[in-house]
Amino acid sequence: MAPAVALRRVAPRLPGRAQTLVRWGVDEDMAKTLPAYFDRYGWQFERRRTDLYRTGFAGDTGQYEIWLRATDNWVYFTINPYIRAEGEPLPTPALRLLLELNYTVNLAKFLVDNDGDIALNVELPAEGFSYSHFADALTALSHYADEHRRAFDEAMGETGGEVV
Amino acid sequence: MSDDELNDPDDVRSGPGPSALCERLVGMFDDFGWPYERNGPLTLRTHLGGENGTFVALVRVTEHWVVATINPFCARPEGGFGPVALKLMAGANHLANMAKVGIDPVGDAFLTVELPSEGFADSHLYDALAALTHYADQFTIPLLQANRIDRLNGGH
Repeated sequence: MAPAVALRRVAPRLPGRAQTLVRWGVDEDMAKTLPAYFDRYGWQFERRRTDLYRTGFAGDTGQYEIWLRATDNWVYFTINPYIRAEGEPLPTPALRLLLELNYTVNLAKFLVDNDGDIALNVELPAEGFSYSHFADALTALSHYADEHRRAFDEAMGETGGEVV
Repeated sequence: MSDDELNDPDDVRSGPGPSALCERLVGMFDDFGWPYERNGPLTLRTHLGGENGTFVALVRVTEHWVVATINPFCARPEGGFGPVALKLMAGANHLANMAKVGIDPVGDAFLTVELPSEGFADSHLYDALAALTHYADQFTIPLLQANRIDRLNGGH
């Protein structure tokens, strides 16, 4: 999976003052901090750039790749694709499940990206970002990815979805 | 990041506590000049004015989170949301930085922002409410249109 696909985002479009806060890049402190956080969490990781990291885990339902991208203002964690649509429209039950799960999952959200794939994201502000946020994000992603995979497989029905 | 933080085996969180943080939020509302009313000891209610409407938002403080929500963002249509509306909302989650779109247990669509209370900054409240206002405004008309299309397609 190419990082550009995994972490493609549109620039946030917030009105007024918030718009001026959005700058892309990563400060030096964060570039030093993130590897230390990975080490403390005990997960292996691959540093692709100073602002881009790849890690992953094996759960009960499969292996999942997590990408972390840091900017001046935000830290993004994502499993993308969580379920690959393979160019087919997602079935209505899967869309409904995704939106209903967004009520129950804390910190994280399920979404459909521009390729039509289902992804699982955590987005946190860089200001005040601490180890507990980092740990919460990885824990949430790994827990929710594994917990809800079978429900998504069922909701995908015969159109299937590639396990990634 | 300090060495203490890295080496602390107990991962002790240093949040201010929900009550103290809620009082801080009240101060932020006052500083920003935004109207609000209390809706419980740890919940504030405010109105967010967008170009396409005014939205009622609740800002709730818990031990670990500050949650700002517009619910209902769009009330459940008769028969529930149809395929076009569901696809629109699922894709909206990709466009919406910070914010999350979903369906609650009674079938209403909601829009929410969740931020950790630890390290909560004044700018976070501003960004959260700005995001809610922006995305509520951005998604309202397309969602109403999607509901209409679903109804025309029948079954919703």
